[in-house]
Amino acid sequence: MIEIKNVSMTFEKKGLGKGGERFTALDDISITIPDGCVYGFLGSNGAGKSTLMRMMCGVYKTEQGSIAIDGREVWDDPEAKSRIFFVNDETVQYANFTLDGLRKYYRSFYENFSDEVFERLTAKLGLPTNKRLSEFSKGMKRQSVVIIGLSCMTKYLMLDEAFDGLDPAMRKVVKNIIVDEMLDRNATLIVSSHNIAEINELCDRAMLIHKGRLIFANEIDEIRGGFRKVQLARKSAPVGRDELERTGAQIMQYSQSGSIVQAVIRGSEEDIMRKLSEISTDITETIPLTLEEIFIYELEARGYGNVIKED
Amino acid sequence: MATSLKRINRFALGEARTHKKFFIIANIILGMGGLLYTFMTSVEKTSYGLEDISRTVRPQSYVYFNPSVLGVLLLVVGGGIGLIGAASVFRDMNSVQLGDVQLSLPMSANERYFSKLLALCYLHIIPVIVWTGIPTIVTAIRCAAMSGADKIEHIEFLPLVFVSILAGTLFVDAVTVLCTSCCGALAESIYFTLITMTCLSAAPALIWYNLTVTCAGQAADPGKVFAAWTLSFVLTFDDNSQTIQPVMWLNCLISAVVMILTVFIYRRRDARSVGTPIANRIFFECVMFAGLMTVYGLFFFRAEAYIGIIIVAVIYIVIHIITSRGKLNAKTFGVWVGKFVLSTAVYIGFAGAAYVTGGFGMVEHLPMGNLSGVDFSINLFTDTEGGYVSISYDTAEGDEDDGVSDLSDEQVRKAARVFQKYAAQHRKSFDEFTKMLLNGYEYSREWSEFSGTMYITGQRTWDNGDTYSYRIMEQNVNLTPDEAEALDKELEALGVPERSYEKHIFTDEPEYYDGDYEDEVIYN
Repeated sequence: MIEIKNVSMTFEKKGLGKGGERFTALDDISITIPDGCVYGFLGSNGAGKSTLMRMMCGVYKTEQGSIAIDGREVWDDPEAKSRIFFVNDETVQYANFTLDGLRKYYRSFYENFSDEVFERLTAKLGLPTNKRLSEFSKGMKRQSVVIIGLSCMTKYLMLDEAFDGLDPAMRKVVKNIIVDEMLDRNATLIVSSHNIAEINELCDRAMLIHKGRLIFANEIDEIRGGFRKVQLARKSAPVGRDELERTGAQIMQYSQSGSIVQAVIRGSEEDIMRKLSEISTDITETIPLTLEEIFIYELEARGYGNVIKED
Repeated sequence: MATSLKRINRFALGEARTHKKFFIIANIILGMGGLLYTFMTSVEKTSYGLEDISRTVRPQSYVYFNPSVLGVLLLVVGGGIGLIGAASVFRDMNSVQLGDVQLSLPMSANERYFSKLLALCYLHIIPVIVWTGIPTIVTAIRCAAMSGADKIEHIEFLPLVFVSILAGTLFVDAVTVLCTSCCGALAESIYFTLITMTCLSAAPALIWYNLTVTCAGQAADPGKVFAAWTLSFVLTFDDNSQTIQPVMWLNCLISAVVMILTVFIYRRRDARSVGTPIANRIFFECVMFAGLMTVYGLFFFRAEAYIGIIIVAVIYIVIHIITSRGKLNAKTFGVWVGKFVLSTAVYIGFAGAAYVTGGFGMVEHLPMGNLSGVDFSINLFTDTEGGYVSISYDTAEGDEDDGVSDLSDEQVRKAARVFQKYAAQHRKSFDEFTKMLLNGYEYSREWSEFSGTMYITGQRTWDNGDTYSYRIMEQNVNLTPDEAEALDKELEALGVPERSYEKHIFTDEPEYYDGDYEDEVIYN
């Protein structure tokens, strides 16, 4: 289990520009990642997903709060770090390696490195082991790093934008490989992606951060169960936003087209229907939201993307 | 502990494997150097006749060797490329992607650091030891194998070459590791390494020169001290070949200590400072200050002082602009200019203190060790009264060829102290100081009274028995004729023989333009 407690991180402009820009990358984040789950990190660009991932594997020192892997503080602890493997969103650092060279490199650090997994997966994906990664396509590089990550046999595997550069067919293959491998050994997968449909499909838990603040973190079903899109139709006069708000419903988004009103409301279906029962309408319908819709509405409610919409 | 050591070695091997290209290039250069040194070094035996105490001439033979210059040069180059090797091994300090990989590996910062040092040993230091050691051993065996020789000439150079290349290699590696650990960007780590190496090598000698020659007016041999942890140690080889070796070993030790202590800087860094120009601000300020002091040491007290100030100002500001990535505003620019002015003021203050105190007292206390003879002269000139005073001491009785005296060691020291005493009385003025600082020693003469130069030429015996003459004192003085005569009397009292005292007074205005003077009265 990975426990992240009250983690904050401020970046300071170093060097001669000191005293200039300072920004808070993470602000009081607390989440728990249980063993054996597939956890999705969602967030806008620059929200702090990669920063949090880097802190979770000891690349950044925890400035405030704590991050513990199986009860051990991760910063500068080889034992804790040996349980997690981080695949970042770049592959340029491996350019001079062959796949075989990468295997030798990582085998020297991870005692449980599995040659069997490595060979099986390279054979499955048909990757040459003696060619330099600089000669690989972007997708092949990604596959190679994922293979290495899986072969290290760590309890936790963390993939930052791991499926970037893969074509849809290969995305599916790689996802299946990862899920199969991780499920087989009851390992935990932590994935960040901008493709929310992918997270929806792959993960059983997710969290959303925006501007360094945690918006939610829960099981995906629970998250989806916490929002409803409501359609209200009334011939006499459309249902106004004020009228809706008077019921106590937390409206995240409201739009009106003729006599039909659409609103995204936070809460369970039962709760929302109970509140809306106070309003007389001709038709009241609720439909669940996709994770992508929740993502968009949550961020829109915080002003994200509004500038683009206005344009 | 055992697990940790195992991890360090495992990572070192892994790290070394990733720098195969550097390893191959280094070994090609070092290998060629080693082979040339082994096979192109000539070892020969020669004989000469020696007349012994019984006046019997018997042949003496000795073995001498000439090392291959190209071979040694290639070994030096092989040592120097440690800058590239060390910077590559510590790339996690300035590459965000590599930082992500290496900092997330299951190791502590200490383990990672020491494994990198070990990797540097595998990649560079061990090859240098091997490729320099082989020719050293082979040449030693070849020398020893020459049968019937009475002695091996200059054999001390053989281990000296070995330890010097090793010391140079470790120096380059240590400075590079230190600078790379303090910088967040590759370009900065490279040029700060070069600046640091230059400062360490040049600054002590320049400061010593300015303190002794310029401010104390005496040339003093810095000896072996300035060979310590610099690259300028090679300059001391000729005169100290036998005794410099321990200093070279000390250099190796200092480099090793610096590399080990750098862990305290390395382990404090996480990936946040990776990719930023300067990760350690104290380091940056220290290097900039040292660089400034070095260049000022080179230019101040010389005729080109103004050029130096302009060069330093431009470099100082340009480096600040580069390291701030061009983010320039009036406030930061003002701070840089302020720091530059402050640093310049510190140097001028230091120079002023050195001037006033005669090189911080060196004017009176420079050691006169190993002097086997001296030659004195004082020349004082004036244009207010029109004339000059020249006192010279023909002290060259004992050895006409060398021009040095038979004075006893005690007499020499006492005479030198008399000179130093009068030199210390040299009247100082702010005007003279600024003239010296900006124009150099030669432009500082005050012509308002009897002014001039006192010289002491000494003969020094080196550790290997060789002797040579050199100017140990060249001091600007302002003496009145009475003081000059008093000085002369003190020297006479010491028993300095055969003084010749000349005082020239011009009764008419001298005709400077044609160099001929009329109505000249000479007093002897």
